[in-house]
Amino acid sequence: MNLFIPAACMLLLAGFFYAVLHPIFATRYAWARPAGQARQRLELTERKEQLYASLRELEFDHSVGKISSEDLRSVRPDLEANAVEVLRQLDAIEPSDGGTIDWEARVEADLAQWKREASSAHASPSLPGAFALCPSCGAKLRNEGGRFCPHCGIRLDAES
Amino acid sequence: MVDVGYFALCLALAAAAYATATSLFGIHRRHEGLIRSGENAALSVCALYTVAVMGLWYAIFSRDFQIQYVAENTNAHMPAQYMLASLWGGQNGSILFWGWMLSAYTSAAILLNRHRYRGLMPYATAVMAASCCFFALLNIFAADPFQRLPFTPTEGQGLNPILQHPYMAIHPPLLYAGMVGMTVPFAFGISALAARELNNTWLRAMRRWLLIPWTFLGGGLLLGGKWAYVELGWGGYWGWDPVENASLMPFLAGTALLHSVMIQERKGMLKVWNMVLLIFTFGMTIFGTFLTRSGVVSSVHAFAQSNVGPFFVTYLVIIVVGSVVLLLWRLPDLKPESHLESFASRESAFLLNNWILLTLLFAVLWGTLFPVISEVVTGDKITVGAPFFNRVSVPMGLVLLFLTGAGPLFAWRRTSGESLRRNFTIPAISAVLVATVLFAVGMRNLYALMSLSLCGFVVGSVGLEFSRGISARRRSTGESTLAAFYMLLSKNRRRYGGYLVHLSVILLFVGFTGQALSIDREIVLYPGQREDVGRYAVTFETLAFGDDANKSVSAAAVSLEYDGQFLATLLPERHFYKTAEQNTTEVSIYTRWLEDFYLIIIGSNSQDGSTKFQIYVNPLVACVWWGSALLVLSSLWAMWPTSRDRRLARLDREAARATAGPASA
Repeated sequence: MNLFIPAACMLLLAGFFYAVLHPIFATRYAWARPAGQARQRLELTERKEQLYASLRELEFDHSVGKISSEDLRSVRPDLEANAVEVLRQLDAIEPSDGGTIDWEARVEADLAQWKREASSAHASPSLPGAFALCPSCGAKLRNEGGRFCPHCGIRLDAES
Repeated sequence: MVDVGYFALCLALAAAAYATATSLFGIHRRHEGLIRSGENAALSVCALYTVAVMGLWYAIFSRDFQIQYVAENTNAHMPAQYMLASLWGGQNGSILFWGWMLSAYTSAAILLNRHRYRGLMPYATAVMAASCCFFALLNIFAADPFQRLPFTPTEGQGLNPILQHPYMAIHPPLLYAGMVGMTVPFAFGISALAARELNNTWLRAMRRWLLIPWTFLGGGLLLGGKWAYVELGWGGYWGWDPVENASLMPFLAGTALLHSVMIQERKGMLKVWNMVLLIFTFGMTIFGTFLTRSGVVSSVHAFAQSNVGPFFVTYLVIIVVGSVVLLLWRLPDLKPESHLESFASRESAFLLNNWILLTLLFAVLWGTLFPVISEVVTGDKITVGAPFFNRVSVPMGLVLLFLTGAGPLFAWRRTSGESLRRNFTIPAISAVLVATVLFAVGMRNLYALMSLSLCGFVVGSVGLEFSRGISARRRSTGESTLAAFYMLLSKNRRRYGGYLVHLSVILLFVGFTGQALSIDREIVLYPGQREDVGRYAVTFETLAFGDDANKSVSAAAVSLEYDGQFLATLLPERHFYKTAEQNTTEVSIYTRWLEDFYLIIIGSNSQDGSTKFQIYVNPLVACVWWGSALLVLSSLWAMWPTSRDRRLARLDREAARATAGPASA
């Protein structure tokens, strides 16, 4: 009798039993859905990413003339307020080192940072429509060519 | 090897059942070990299916005609590529192939998300494994590909001759990959409902798994069209055949879902609607499979009537009832977070797009099922032909084409009149320009004029988006136009990849419009005779006959001229497959720019040498094939992970690690 068939079937069966039994005895921790801070952080980050994407798109569409300043003014504050709220909640989970934070300025700075990154290494120093804000504290920069932020003192050219 | 294959199939059924039960039990007991065991069982289903498929291929290639499936779908003279393709050429083998693909999708979804979406994955594994269970059950109890005959025939019946074509080796697997793949997004949707994790995480988990089968479905449908065009010999690529419709319906539902999901991601609206669409899209894949395989509708594609119908109906009822009950149970958790702010917004355009797509879907469904409904009600089977489908689909297709161009011109939330005027100006000028030029060169077909002008509108809209983006990048970075174009596509894959998909839609519509302008002639020629067809002229040179073990062939040599200039010698053939006793036509096509000269032999008189030819001149048809290729490539581009996806994936893994605790059971 051909022994190949029973041998192959036994091999398949053995492989299957090993695959399904091994984790039962080898796994030492309980299954739990992401919960608590980790889950909250994930959800808030997801929301933040979504809001930032919407804000970036809005800024971009405005800068290329696709939407009017009137549209920008009517839509942006809502998105910005939501983004600020999300940043506040994220900060409540993982408090940052500094004292009082200007959240609106932080949102502006994050967007400015993205704009610089999106413009890649070839970016010219003065981007049309770019925000003249400090990427660290969000303060407005009077002198765009300056090397340091007059408010927090961070080195600006190292960031870009 | 065949017995090992059958054993592996039975073990795959057991493994899939175990994976379903263990995943659910693991959730109940909160036991990670059981959940991992369920996942491993689901992975082993794929390995076991692979052994089963290898078993059937072994039987096919070793010409084991005692196996009924091999005897019915192959013969000793078939070339190797069709032996390979005969795995999915018949009912039972194709269900085995379907199950294999499903198990591969299940494994891919489990492996790629092993350390992510831990709240969803056990449920998703249970749903996908249950689906594998159904197809294994079907193979074992209703469509056994390993069944032996009581005797061994000396020769097999061979694969259906019309399936012996290179495109048939690719088209069904692509289409199956599309239909089968819809199981994964469905599993994520059900898992979100069951786990009550209805935030944006499940949408993120699902989106790419929806785009993959959607791309396969689109590619498969269009490749099927190409096969019909070059093989079936009726001059067209889409005949509203029930089986074509069965694949088109989930594609339409999936297209609607891809758009409305974006509204939920951004605004937390349409949560119930998207769930319904997801269930409906998956349900349509199963319903389409039921139509193809149960024999309830007649089709050139349909498999022989078999007893798989009741199995599919039961499965479909379980899916629909189970999903709807789960959805109703979670209805309080699916409240919208915001509302439509203005009708002049991207959301409204997407909603309209959803309604048109679904209306088209229901029209196609109605036309497909009408013969069945009419037979039940009146006792007579009344078939609804292409004219009905064209009458319904052409106007709706034109509205969809308009929305393809108009949608991107609206901003999210609301768009002022000033912005709309500015955004619509160039696309509108582009549409008017196209219409004027076409009218001036003599085009009088209203639908063709409307369709091509709307294509001009969409080109204007997409072109405007790209030119604005490229200009902005050039201003800020000093990049060259080409570099700015590439960077624009790379930095925002979803948005600009989506626009490329819209461009592919334009190409497809330009190709479809060509159908309205085609020339159709039937002529009888004697050797040496010449005939004019529009600006083309054909001269019938000679007719030759040949013969091999598989088929006998009659082939004509016809020289083709355009405006008096020689283009090529066309060689259309007519085959007679001996075992199947079936005639097929081998079309000869000459492509000139975007236009095809399409020649078929209808019949020949061996006594006087006269031959009857069917000729089609199909303008713009090449746009359909180029559009298909662009559709697939641009979808791949749009679904490629971005840095944002990678950031969130890292957080997913961190969240999963942070919640893993010591075992309680």
